[in-house]
Amino acid sequence: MNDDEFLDVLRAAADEFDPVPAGVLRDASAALALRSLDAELAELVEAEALVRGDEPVTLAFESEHVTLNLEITDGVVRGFVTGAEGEAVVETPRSRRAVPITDGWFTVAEVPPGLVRVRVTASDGTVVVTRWARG
Amino acid sequence: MDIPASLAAAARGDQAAWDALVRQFSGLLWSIARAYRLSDADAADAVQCTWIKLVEHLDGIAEPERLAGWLSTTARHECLQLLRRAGRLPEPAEEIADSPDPAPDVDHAMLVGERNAALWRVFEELPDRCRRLLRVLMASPPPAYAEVALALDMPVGSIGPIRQRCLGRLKALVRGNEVLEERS
Repeated sequence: MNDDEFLDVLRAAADEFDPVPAGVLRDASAALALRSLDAELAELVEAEALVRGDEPVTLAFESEHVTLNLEITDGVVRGFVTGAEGEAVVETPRSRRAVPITDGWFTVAEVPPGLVRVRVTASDGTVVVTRWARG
Repeated sequence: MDIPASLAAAARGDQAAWDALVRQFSGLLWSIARAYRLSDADAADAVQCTWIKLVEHLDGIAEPERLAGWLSTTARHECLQLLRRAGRLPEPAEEIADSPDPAPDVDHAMLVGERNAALWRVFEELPDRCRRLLRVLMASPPPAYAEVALALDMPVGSIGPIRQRCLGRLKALVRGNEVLEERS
């Protein structure tokens, strides 16, 4: 058996013992619906990287209309926004929670680990969404 | 598969075109996550994040014909970020020496039926660098070396020789394994 044939045998073993889980394919398929074509994108301008999981992540986003600072610790997302009012919507690929913005601040608890983004409405009505960030 | 056309259709919101991309490349992305020894949950996370990043960049992929490379690079970044987050970085790349003897041949008879399970266990015993490379090469459908190079951040020209040495190592392990060596 040459190397290519041997690798084919290994590929069959991988397909049998470590296939792509069905849930991973479902999530991938569903990802297309997470596009937000209507919204202005707030770019990540600063990220306080962390080394260990128990330190907070701090992220700064900016768009033409708003600035948004996020601190994420143990599933709690705390944000400060300028240029927007009303509600902040904290989204993960599987969930969304709307909370009021009070004097620029908002907090959402029990956010599942993984990707998170925040959607707000600028004072002139423009919908702004941050890029996805890892909480 | 016409990848640039599927990508353009997906960017217009065509779910069927998107699903075709998902079917084509999920095997590669899963293999990359497993190559970095991510757990079930972390591997699922890394793959999903890679797809979501693509959704975010659907209109901005500069070279659609190189989508597989873009996905491989993105998946590597996601995996390394998860490993860093866990305080765990991949083992440094050790040198892979040739097997002392010419690689023993193995034949199909050794690798049928339940022996596939034994082969899988033997594979998991490989040194990390070999296991990592072979796990990506084992993706379905088989990836091009260019994508493997991006997924593992190694020179494309080194893949062939290292592949050969690592398969030699694995053959030696197969030859030394009782279950696999026993003739039926």
